[in-house]
Amino acid sequence: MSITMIVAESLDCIYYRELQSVTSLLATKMNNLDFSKINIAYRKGQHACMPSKLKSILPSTGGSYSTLGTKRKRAICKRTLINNYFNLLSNSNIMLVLVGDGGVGKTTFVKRHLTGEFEKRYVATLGVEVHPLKFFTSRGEMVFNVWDTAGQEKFGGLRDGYYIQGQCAVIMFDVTARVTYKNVPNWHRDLVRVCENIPIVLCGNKVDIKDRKVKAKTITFHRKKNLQYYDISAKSNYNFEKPFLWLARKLAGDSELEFIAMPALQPPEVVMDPQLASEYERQLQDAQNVSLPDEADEDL
Amino acid sequence: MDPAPTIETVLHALRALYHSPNTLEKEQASKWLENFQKSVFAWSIADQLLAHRDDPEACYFAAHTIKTKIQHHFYELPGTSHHSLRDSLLNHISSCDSQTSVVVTQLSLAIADLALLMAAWENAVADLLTKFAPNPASYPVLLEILTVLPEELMNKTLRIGANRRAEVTEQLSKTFEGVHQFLVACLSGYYTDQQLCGRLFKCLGSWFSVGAVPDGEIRQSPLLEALFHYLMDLSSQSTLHEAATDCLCSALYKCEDMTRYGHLAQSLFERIMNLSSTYAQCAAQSDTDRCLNFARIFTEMAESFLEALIQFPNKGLGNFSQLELICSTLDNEAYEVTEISFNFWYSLSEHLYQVDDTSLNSQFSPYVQKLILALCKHVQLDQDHDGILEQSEDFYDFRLRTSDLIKDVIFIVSSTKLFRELLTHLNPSLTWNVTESYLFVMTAIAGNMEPKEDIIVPHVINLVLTEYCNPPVRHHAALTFTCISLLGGFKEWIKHNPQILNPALQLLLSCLRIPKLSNMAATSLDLICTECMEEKQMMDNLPTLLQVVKDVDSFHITTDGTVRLIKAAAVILSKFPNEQLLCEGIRELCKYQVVPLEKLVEDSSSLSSKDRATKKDPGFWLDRLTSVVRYGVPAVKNGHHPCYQVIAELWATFAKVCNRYQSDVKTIEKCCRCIRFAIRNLGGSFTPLLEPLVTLMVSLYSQHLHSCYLYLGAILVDVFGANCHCIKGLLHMTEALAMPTFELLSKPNGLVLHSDTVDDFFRLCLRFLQRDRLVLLSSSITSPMLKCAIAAATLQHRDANASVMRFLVEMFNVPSPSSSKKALNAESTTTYTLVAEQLQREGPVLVDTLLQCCVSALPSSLMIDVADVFMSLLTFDRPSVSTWLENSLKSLPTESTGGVVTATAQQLKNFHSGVTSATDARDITPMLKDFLILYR
Repeated sequence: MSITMIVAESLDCIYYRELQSVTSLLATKMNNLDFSKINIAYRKGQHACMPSKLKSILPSTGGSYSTLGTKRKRAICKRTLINNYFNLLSNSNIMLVLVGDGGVGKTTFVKRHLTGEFEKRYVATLGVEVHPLKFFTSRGEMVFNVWDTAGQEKFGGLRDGYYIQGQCAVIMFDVTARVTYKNVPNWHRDLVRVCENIPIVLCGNKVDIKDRKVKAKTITFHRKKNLQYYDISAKSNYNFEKPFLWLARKLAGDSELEFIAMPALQPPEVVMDPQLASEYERQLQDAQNVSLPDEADEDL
Repeated sequence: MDPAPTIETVLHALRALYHSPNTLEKEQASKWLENFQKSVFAWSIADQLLAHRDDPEACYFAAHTIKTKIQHHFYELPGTSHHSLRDSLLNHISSCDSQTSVVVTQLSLAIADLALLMAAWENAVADLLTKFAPNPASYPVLLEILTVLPEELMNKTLRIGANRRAEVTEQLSKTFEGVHQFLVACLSGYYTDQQLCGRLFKCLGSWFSVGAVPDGEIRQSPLLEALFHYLMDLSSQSTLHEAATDCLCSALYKCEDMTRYGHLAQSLFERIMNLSSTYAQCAAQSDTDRCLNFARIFTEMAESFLEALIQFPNKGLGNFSQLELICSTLDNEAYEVTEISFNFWYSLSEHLYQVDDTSLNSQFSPYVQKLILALCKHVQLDQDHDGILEQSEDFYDFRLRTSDLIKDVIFIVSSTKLFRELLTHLNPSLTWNVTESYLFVMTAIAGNMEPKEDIIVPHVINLVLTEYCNPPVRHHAALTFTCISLLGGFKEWIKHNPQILNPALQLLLSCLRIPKLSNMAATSLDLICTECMEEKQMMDNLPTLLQVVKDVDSFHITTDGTVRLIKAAAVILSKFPNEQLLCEGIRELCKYQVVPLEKLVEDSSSLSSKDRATKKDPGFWLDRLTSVVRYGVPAVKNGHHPCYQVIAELWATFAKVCNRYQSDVKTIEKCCRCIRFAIRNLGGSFTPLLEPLVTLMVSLYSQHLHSCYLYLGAILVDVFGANCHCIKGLLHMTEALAMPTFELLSKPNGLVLHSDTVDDFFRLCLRFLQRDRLVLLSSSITSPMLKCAIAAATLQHRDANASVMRFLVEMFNVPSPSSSKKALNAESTTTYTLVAEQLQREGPVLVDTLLQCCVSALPSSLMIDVADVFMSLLTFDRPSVSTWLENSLKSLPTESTGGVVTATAQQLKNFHSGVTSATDARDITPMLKDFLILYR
């Protein structure tokens, strides 16, 4: 039995790193599940994953990569595989790196989620604090392991030492302090040096404060780097979930994904039991049927 | 960490950090690894770890550790070992395979940082080219090092200083020729390898960014040929297209300096003009990614040539064809593309505003008009959009930014002209969403309309009142929503045309009862009531407004909306001529909040987090009450405050709330805020309440240390400090509050952990100095207060730092016998003597701390405050400050471990004489800023 994954433009959020983590996750399960190989299909011209990179993440057990079939077939393939992919995603906590200058409100941002309350008091983060944040999405439960890192150098931490496992990131600055915005390119540069293609959200915090120094229209950095920008306020709860929602959509490869207040359905349990494995098998066969090389595809 | 840990221990900690499911374990591992990196053993262990090729995480961490050691602990290495470290790093990086690119990056950073710190490595770039350039297999590694080297030049953590930075930049410019040759060789060997080409452009961009690419040859370089080729080749990979764009933008950014890059600027301008048809092609194909890239290029160019555009409109590099180019991106179907140029328009408007030349504005006016009309289209809602646009939607944010931009640029075309233009578009055959978009844009500029304008505005208002909102539910809710927001925007016009007031208020009041519209109606009501509070018609509407406030909880309205309504009612009440009715009205408004608040206080159940912002939260009522006492401020005649009794009665409630919720900081903060406005409202009339308030504050502060009591103390000192009957009591209060504060702040890391307390405490101290300096100086707390301020001066917390610095400025802001023309009176002499004693004791430490603030502790933006303190000290005692500064400067290091000179003797001398001879703080700020970059 084999697993096929697609990487198509519509799925451009399955970045190299996610693909890597999914394949390695699958590889670890392969023995007990009797997977023989992992095939990776990709769409030609897709920028996120080059064949050479794909090759490097194929596990030693073998596997292949190939281009995809027609638009319609891809759509079927996408539907089933997003489901599979999401299940894998929700099975492992997603590592989110939270960076930005000291005092911009990173810890408040995370803690707001944990306790539903806002604290005025500023307590500098020493090193790193890891907070698991749970979200119920229209596809099921998603857990972000948020690595809240020390913003001020004197409070230590491993700085970019944490980034290696990062699957997504939030860079935060304070709209009432220009200097914190000026440092955004530095935080971004340090991040992409380690995790080249992860989705990143830029957040301008404290928008409820009247004395706004960094005007919205002068926040142009994200335009240049293809990141998403949000004005947020930990204090008034403004736009609080948006960064997570955007990241969740990017990671799950589903632009329609929504957060739901309470889990409407029991979140899918992703223990790899035999029944699930057979379901996988069926889906994989479907996927294999559509993943025939088709170089002459009109919309490639 | 002693003795050295084994490699196994390090690997174990790494596994815990990256893979343990237990967050506590992760955090502990992080702490351990951090200590490991700080230890001197990290150098050799990291070197050994790099050999663990099969474990990419270990390899990454090892490379990261070496980089961190070089960045932060370079001094641990003896100078003799620098060369062998370099050779070892070069060996490691040569043996890395390209799969482990993150390791290569970290090692490249380590090599780059070493090259910057190690003055003895004179020809780093030339050496690297000799070692790696001949072998094509090494191209990726060399490209990476050459990319990060200029980037690291700007890395503040290295603290190499401005002298070294200037020296290296010059070296880089000199070696660029060799680098260029290498890049061209890469290009010709791998022209079709798009990934390599992307890296190549990234590298070139990095050299552009630091200004290490000389103007001249580069214009004809094959690199630029290739860059534009790939920009126009729509089959190129999107990452390559983006890399080419980034590189070009870096070059354009530098072209702002026309004296250095005049030739390149001209050449890039001509080439970019040719991109117009490629952009059009991408737009036609809905290739948003590439369109974004082109929009960035066009915008970056126009931003760089902005000076030329303003000084030589439509001539040379000020050619308006670049405006045409930007305008072509406005019609893009994706608003993200349009939004790229927002900052350009904003900068343009700032420049034109400065120049203030009507004929110049008129040259740009057609383009701005194009912009606004394009924005009208972009802000359109979908015709089948349901309800109003929620704040949580991204499109809402976009419309907000659009509205802000229109406000900034509107003066270039004139509001009246644009309004007239927009009005011509409005006609009954439009669908609701198109009408809404025009009204939305009108709302942005409604405030700019002349109150005397008597054709367009009456016409629009008439349309709103008789057509679009008659009755309010006639059209789509989003259209009505924008209409009532537009009415609020016309507040000034309405003030001058009060005949419109009644129908406008009636519409707004009726909209309060419609759930989707209630909040916007409250906002517009607030705006209009505040603006027109003295109009007679307002008094007629007061009963309705009071009734609305009474029934407010039966409406579907947010807390913010409610607070606005209360504000509107309170503001109008405060202008009511009949004192008794005024008083009754305020009493009613208070009663609506006090009764439920008292009930809560009686209730014994505790406040849970899910009760926040509900009626079970005392803060819910306190916020409303604050709105009453803040805005319901009547005029005081002959020392008689009409509402004294009403507000004094609130005191009992405040005391109950403070006691009942004494440990709940949020409620206390809200209560203190309410008390604050009650004090401001009553002013001097508050005196009888002073004593019980102070007693309560001191007692609760010593138990709970909520800094809002300190803030309240500052208000009290401000209001009553000039009253000689109160000043003794206020001093006792300050002393009583200071004791627990000193205790809190002197705990380990106390200043950093309690920056809010620092902020509020020094705000209080500052107020006291301003009100009665001598009383405070005679107290025994002055000395610990000053010591505490000096310790807190290096805090990076902006508010706390600002309060401390203002306190220090004020502390020494007293006339000295030498500076005054007239002899000082007895009081001034005593004051001077007391301050001089403090300064003699603390002066050396204070000056040294200020120097530390400059050299390392504070961001450059805070130097303006440091300069103020210096000026205050210099004015007080110039000779002493001069001596102390000289001593402190002597203790600064002049050379780093790597042999890099930080500041020359001449630079130190210039700084000293510059600062000590200054007569204006504004002259000191730039000196501090120039000096600090020598050390950062």
